[in-house]
Parts: sequence; structure tokens; C-alpha cells
Amino acid sequence: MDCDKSRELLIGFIGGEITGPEAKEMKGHLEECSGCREELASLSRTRMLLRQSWPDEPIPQNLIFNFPGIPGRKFWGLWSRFGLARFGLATVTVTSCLILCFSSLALLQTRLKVGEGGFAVSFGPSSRLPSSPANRATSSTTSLPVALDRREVENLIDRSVQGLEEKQRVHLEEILLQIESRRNADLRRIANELRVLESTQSVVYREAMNNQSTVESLARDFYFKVNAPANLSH
Amino acid sequence: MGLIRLTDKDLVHRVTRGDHEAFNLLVARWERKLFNYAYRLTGNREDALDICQDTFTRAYEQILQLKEAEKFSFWLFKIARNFSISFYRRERNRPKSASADDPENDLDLENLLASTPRVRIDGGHGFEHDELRLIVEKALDQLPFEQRETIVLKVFEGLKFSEIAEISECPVSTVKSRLYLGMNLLRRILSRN
Repeated sequence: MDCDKSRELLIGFIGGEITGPEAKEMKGHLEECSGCREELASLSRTRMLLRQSWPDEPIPQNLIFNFPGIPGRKFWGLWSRFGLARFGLATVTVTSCLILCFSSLALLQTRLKVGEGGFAVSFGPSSRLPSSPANRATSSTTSLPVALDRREVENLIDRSVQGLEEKQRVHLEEILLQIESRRNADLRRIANELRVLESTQSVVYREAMNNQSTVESLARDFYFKVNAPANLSH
Repeated sequence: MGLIRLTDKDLVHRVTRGDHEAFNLLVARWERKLFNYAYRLTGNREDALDICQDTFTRAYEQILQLKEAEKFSFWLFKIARNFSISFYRRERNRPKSASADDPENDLDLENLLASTPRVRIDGGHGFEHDELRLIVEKALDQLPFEQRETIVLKVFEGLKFSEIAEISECPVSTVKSRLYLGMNLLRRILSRN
């Protein structure tokens, strides 16, 4: 074995990783080579010195982690932490689903007809008009004749305009009556309030007069009590 | 079965299922080793603590990417190594402060050899422990990062060559070479021969 090969084994020896046959081979070389022998001893001492001079230290402060959740599971990590939020979110989700369902049914103009033998669901605009007598009457007045000339159309428009104007007038009169009645009620209430205020003021005035006379009489009594001996002596 | 008896692999699986306590147990299991590794690489307790904190945070964030859960510790050391390299580069590129006039701060190898007190590596050096520690620290500081790291992992942490190769992402032969060169350089610095 030459010194190069010996150095390779030597570092394995220093690192504590050398096999039995390798150790035997190196031992043979070391007996003959004083340079490698010295190198091995020197490296071993250096290794020992390192280990002795810088032993493991305790960590100055323990590391405690409070992570919200594993990345990629962040949402569920937070989800699991808040039970109340979970309940709230579930409620919101269910409500949203119901609203979505009903909105979809409304958009499709869904009709549900319940009969004795069960129920039927249909979609789209109704193909039949209501069959009650009142509705029939309404339909007879609102439906146009099959063929109309210009005059009839004008009359029809005039009638509908007059009807609208009449409705507007009636409505306006109702509004004016309401305003008038409210104004009268307000005036009555104000008059009542003023009367109450007036009576209260008169009561207060009377009380003030009474108080003044009481104070004056007390003052007189006091004056006479103080000056009575002097008057009597005269 | 208590958590304390579980292997790293079991704990990693628990963490991936959302068990935070399992991760805290992994931290408690490895924080001291990792702290000492980072401390010996940086030579500064606060920086080592920062590296530790960052390493565990990164490990937690990326634990789902860990394919072989039984290799958690090597993976952890690898993360810490990357942070240490960043720290090493940052420190090296940092402009010298006012204390740069201090000759101790710009020692090259020759200056160090001249200025370091002679240490008899047969044990009869006569230094106090703290003094010796500072000398070793200063000597380690003069090594290239790769050599220093290999010595730390081999001599202090007692890892196998193959494990160091995995952490350092290089062949075993390179690890051996780095250890040999680093130890020889340290020997020269320490014994001033």
C-alpha cells in the first residue's frame, strides 16, 4: 500500500468508518511508514481537541410553533379550529342553495298543481286563461275585437284615457282630502297644546305670586321679631 | 402508544394529517442538534437560533413535499444548510464596520497562523476551556464553508459519510476529501507548525 491509499483509509479511520480488512491493510502500512503514522496521530488529536473544546450546548430557548394548519390544508386547518364558524358557514351554504333553487324555479315559471291523486309540475307561461266567471268577465272587456277600424280604435283609446284621467282625479281628490284632514288634526293638536301651555303658565304665575306673598309675610314677621323690643322700649 | 415513542416517520405522517403536536415533538427532538449545527457553522448564538426558527418554519411549510418521511432529519439539516449558506454569503458581502480596523477581523491564514497562540494538540496546551473554545471557533472560521460544514457534521454531529453526502448534495469521495483538507488546515492553524 502506498501513502495515497493510506490517506484515503486514514480519513475513514478518523471518521470511524473503516472495515476490518481495510484496518488490517492500513496497520501494515503504518508499521512501515512513520509519516503516515504521525499524520494519523496528529489528525486524531485534532479531532479530539475539537470535540472537547466545543461540546453541544442546550438551545437558549425552546422553539414552540403554533401553526394554523398544514400548507395545502390551510382552509381545513382553520375550518377545524372554529366550530361555530363551521356551523355558520354550513347554514349560509344551505340557505344559498335554497335561494338558488327557488330562483331557478321562478325563472322557469314553474307551477305546482296539487290534486287528489298527487301533484303535477309544469314550466313555461300558462297556455290557458283562468276559468272563473270574474276572470271571464274581465277578459271579455279587455280583449280586443278580432277586427277594428280607425274610429273604433280612437274611441277605445279615448275611453281608456278618460278612464285613466277619472282614476287620477279620484285619486287626487282622495289625497287632498287626506292632506286636509291631517292638517286639521294637526291644528287641533297644536291648539290643545297651546291651551295646556296657557293654563300651565297661569298656574305657575299663581304659584309664583303665592310664593312671593309668603316670602314677604315671613320677612315682615322676622323684621317685627327683631325690632319688637326696641319699639316696645319706646 | 405515546407520541414520544413514535419514529420521525410516524410523526411526519401525523403532521401531514394536521397533528400540530406531532410537529412540536419533532421540533423538540431535533432543535438542539440543529441549533448546535447552525451555531458551529455561524459562530453566533442568535444567528443560529434564527436559522433554527427559519428551518423549522420552512420544514413545516413544505412537509407535504417530503417524499421519504424516514429521512426527515437529513432533510431538516439540508434546509438548515441552505439557510446557513445564505447567512454565510450575507456575512461575507457585508461591508466592514468601524471595527474593521481591528486586525483580528481581517486575518488571513498566515496572519492567523502568526497570531494564534500555539496550541499543543496533545492536550497539554494549558488553556482555559473558554479560551480554547474561542481559538477553535476562530480557526473554524478560517475554513471554507464546505470544509467547515463537513467537519461539523462528521466530528461534532457524528454523521456517516453517506449521510453528509446526502445533506451536502455531493459524492462521498468529495466529503472525504473535504474532511481531510479541512482537518489538515485546522491542525496547521491550531498547532502553528
